[in-house]
Amino acid sequence: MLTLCLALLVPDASAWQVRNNDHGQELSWKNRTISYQVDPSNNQDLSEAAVESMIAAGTRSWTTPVGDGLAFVDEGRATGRIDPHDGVNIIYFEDEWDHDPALVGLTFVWSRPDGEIIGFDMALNTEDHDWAVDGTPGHNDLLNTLSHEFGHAIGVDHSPEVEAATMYPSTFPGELAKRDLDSDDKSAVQYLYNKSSVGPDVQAGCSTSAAPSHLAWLFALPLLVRRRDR
Amino acid sequence: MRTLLILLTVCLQTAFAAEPLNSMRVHDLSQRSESVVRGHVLHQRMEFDQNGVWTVAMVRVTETLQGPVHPIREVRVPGGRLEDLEVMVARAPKLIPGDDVLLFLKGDQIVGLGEGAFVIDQERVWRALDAWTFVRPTLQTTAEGPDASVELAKVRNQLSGDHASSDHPSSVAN
Repeated sequence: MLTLCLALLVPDASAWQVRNNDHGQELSWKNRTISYQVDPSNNQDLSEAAVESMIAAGTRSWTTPVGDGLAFVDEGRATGRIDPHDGVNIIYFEDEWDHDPALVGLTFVWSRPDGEIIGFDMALNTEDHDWAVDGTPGHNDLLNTLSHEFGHAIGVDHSPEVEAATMYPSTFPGELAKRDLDSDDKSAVQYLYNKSSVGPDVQAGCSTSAAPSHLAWLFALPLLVRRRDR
Repeated sequence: MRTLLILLTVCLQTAFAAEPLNSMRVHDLSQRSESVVRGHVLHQRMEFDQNGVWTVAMVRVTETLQGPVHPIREVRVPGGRLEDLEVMVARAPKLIPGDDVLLFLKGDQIVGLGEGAFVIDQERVWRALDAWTFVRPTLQTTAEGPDASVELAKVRNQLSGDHASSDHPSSVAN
């Protein structure tokens, strides 16, 4: 009875979301092996080995839930910047940040009209934020941010209603919680890259343009109530 | 049965729990902004540099609620379209020509990307259901509950009140 009532009443209150382009197509990689290159300069003297290790860990966060459905390949160093035509998916530190200084990182995702992602470039703001790789209080944790930005790189949008999610849209200095994916994040990557593993309700409920998953919404209820109590 | 009714009531209330542009949000955004303007999006063009792909929207300002008065503002938003490629940046708003918008600006950029961009429809300021994405009220994903929009007059009054107790200039109609 309760389930039936909820099914009739609940509107679209999304948890995880995938990104749709202007044509309404969901973004995802068709080539499931994604290469990247790293420019470690301007990184506030972080150990380059630690940077590479954090980047690798950030990619593993998203590939582990889908097994061989998705892979990242480190192709070494590069010195490029944001460029859709260079064929390089670069991750770099920007010490002359030209965007809102409140942003700790930005990922540009290049896609075709059919939704196929063909590239990404990821910029990390080292002009306005202090960074660390060891959880130093007051510093922005590199892996915490990388895990979030890699989600965008594979087509996952923000999850604004699930504060525990890696794809929750805000962070704070010293936060480490986004290093590890929440179940909400795992559902998103499994939907995009391992679709046979999730049921039709979940598939429908978490697209920004589709009907809600009633079960997912029920789980989100306590969070929504808490938000209203603030 | 009573428990069920309570649960249903909670469901109905939380169903409309989009993050509103409440007084705290207005104050926070205002503090982070150099200017707050209402205007019409006239047209847009693309720019591309090493910091990214930008959509540069020309906005004809119809009201300045905070900051210096300029009749036209160029607003840069990361992302857009480059040849046949769509360039997407999470949380980046879309400024659609013809729209009546309320923008919290720092320089030529929107504060917090989609955080500081709103569309005005029938003198109400709208946010998206997810509170981050800029969505026109006619689109499916826009919240339609009572908390999803706020009267522009309330935003205007709050900004005026904030300015009265700060160094900001008063609201100016262009």
